[in-house]
Amino acid sequence: MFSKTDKQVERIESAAANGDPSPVLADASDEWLAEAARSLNEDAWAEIYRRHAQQVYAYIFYRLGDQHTAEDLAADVFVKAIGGIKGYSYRGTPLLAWLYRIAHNVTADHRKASARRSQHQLAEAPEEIEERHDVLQELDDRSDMMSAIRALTEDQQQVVILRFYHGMSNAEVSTVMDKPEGAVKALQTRALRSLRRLLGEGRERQETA
Amino acid sequence: MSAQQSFDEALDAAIDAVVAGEPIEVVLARFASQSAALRPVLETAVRATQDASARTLPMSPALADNYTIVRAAVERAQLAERPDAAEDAVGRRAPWWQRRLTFASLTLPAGAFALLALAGVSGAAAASIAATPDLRSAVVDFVASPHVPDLSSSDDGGGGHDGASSPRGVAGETVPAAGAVASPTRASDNRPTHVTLTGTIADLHGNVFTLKMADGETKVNIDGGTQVTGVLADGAAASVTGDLTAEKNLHADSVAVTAPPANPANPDATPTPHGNADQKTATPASEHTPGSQPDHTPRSQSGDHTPGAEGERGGSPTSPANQGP
Repeated sequence: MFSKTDKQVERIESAAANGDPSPVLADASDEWLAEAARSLNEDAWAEIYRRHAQQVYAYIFYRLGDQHTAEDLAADVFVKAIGGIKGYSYRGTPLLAWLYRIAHNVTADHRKASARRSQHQLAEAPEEIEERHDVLQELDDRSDMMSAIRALTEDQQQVVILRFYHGMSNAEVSTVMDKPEGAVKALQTRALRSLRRLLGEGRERQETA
Repeated sequence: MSAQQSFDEALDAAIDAVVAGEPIEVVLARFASQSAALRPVLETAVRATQDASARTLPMSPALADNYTIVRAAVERAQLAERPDAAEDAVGRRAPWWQRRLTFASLTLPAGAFALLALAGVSGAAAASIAATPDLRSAVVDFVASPHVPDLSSSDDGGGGHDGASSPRGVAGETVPAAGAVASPTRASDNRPTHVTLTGTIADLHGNVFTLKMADGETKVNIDGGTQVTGVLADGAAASVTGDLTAEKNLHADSVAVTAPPANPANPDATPTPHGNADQKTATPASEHTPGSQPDHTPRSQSGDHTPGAEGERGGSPTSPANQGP
């Protein structure tokens, strides 16, 4: 598994001398890291963040389209993961899959909160909101794939982003979503049909304009 | 299998084939009976794949900076798991006779006595821990001694790092090490003792050295909170004040070199790079040791923020923001 051999110690010393990350952590398996993370080891969490922060950020960015929000929410995902690590046990599911699951929930919560805020603002100052609201702009942009994806349901977005933008297989997506593979395939089909319709609508809108 | 399921399966296989580089017409020919229905959906899938490969994710320097939030969350979780850690950090410098008499101070000795009485139960626990898988013991080993200098200076995995009193020690308590449980005095001598020891410095390596005294020796760890007076060097006489753990590790609050080495083995010896994150030399995680205050201050330079061992050890950072999605 993971024992400290003389050779390994040599590599560790060499890495330290060069200021490189410890190969102990760089080589650690997900199972090993998960166990250390459960023990609230800071270095293990640093390594998990180093490995996966970018992917979690990308996932949230594709879902929301806002860089700064995606950065903040990506950190939130890890904070929530730290809070929930005691309930996590490694059973072959990659840590990243678990993080994506948390990212999905964090993103969904953020959207709900934003929608509530928008409704509240709309009720208070409809004329201002009318100017700021970008629904029409968004409809015009639906020829853009990302805007169309963001118009899908939460589950459909998750399937499309993980499948096409993160290059996962349906089996991997089903692990992340904790759904049977058949259900993921069905979601994929519905998502692609909806996307086609949305993209077609966007194109028609552009031609009319 | 229903027609819809069959279609879903065919679409998935077709997508895999197209993503792998097969021309769409070739793939549709393979699913001739469903090609009319497949074509529009498959074309959309291809478009999504092309969009994904053409899209570049905005660089995010803040992503690396945000690791400070994550690290603070880990520290909060550690404190939540062992609430007395914060109390220890504040109160440990005062000698016991200056501390206020509290209910806890009265009940702790009683608790320790009760623990000793339960030694038989501990024995059984030790037996069960001995049977834990390699992974767990490897993690315990790591948690007790994750730092580079310590790994090279000790065979027992404990190195110069005190797993029992540092935040990592919290983890050690969650997944107890077999060695720790095997010690019957563990429960009673878990808390470090504040001492001043005088001896000769030996085996100076990074921020760890051995203090050789007339009646034995102890391993000394220094960190960002340690006040060092004089130049540390092998053979120099020194007086060290700090917390001595049951494992004979002394976390130094101050080190005063009282006499230089008689015959300096290393004339180039320089003060150890304690507390300076910019040093290239590997440093122990000064934030983690009881002798220093946890560093909650957000750092402004991105190099310092880079998560992972390299950030804390001042190495060349590999910013997550610089990696592709």
